[in-house]
Amino acid sequence: MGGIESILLKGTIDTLIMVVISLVISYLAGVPLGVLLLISKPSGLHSRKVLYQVLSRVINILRSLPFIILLTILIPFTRFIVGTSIGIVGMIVPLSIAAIPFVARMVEQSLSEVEPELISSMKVIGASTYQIIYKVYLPEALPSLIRGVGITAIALIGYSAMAGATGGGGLGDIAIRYGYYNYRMDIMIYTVIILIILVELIQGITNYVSKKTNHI
Amino acid sequence: MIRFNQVSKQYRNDDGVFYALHDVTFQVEEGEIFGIIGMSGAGKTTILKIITGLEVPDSGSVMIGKYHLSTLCSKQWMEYRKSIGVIHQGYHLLMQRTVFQNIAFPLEINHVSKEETQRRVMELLEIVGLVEKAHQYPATLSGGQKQRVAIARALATNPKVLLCDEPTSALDLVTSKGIVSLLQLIRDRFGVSIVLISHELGIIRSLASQVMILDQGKICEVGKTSDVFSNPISLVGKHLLGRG
Repeated sequence: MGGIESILLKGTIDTLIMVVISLVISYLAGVPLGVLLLISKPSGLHSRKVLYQVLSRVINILRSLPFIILLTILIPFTRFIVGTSIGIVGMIVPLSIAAIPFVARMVEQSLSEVEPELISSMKVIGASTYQIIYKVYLPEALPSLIRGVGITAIALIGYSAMAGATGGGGLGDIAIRYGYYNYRMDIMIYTVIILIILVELIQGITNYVSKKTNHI
Repeated sequence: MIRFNQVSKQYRNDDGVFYALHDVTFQVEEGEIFGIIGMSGAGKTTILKIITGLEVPDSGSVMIGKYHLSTLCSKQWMEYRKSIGVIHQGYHLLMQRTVFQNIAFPLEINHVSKEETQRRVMELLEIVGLVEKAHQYPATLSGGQKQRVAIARALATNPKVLLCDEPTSALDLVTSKGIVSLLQLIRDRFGVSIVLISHELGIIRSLASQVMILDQGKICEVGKTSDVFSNPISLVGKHLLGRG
């Protein structure tokens, strides 16, 4: 029993490491991209039709690729960036790249919930585009952005579990190697239970924080 | 203070070209409250958008104080914007900021020091009677209180002109009266010119010394409020004022 526990504990930690690092990377890239989408679109603060169309198409293409295909296509790139395409290190690259377009769209969506009349009011007061982004869009949309973090983290847990199929490490890897190939139904069930708990925790925490930061 | 000289603005839609404003000339003196009435689509909002710089007229000239709008560079626009304040029917407050932080917003983007901001915001809160609400969020306020916050914010940079777009249309009668006397107080105390757009004739009548009636982008009549209200000349005026 001690063996199972340490296997599951390591799997959980590996999953969390993969998810947290990919989450941070995807937000570092996804927030600026989401802001760019928002301000470059036809009704945006600085409409740039071509830029918006190109960006929007690329994001749609990346989002329509099944994760397992993306993972395979990215193997040479992943090796080039982190030196390996397997294990949790090898998973961070494809997970981040899968999540960036997802985050960009979600940020765009959250920010476009801010009323356009409010934005033009702020323009009239004299706020620059930069000030409108940092002092109006992002703070006003914060509760919605935080809910988005929860959704992204949960999607990443799903993707990272899929990574088990390619030796990616983490709980998905354990479920496949021990549970599926070695007929260890108990381990399979434990991993699923841990995944459910993780999802519930993330959902609960982000909902709570979102509510706490919302003054409406 | 405000001079519109033969200002025209066209819009294009599927049916062709139409005038949002056609050859509009009027002026508003310092410390005057100037009412604008007209049906929707008459051009009231276009006048507001031109003064705030959200729209540029096709022809004619607009002078606001010392600023000739068509000649301003972007730095001068920043300066100019401090000299106008705007309030709307929908308040347009930042919901995730406190009352204090909302009023401080125009000062913040103009890089006013913390001490000066603190002093100015408290002064404004006193004028609009919301000192005890300083650290509450707008969602906890009533409509009238939200409009008071918006008025305080509009006054933060000491504007010479206050533009009011249907300021009381979302409020009940008693609350509206409170806003009306606040606007009067502000005019008396700071000598700002107020442009008041409203479909509520009672508000125009009790506040505005001059009134302009617009229809389809053209001025139907303009004159002393008491004259226009008691004896409208134009058909639209008679219709709007219920004397047709």
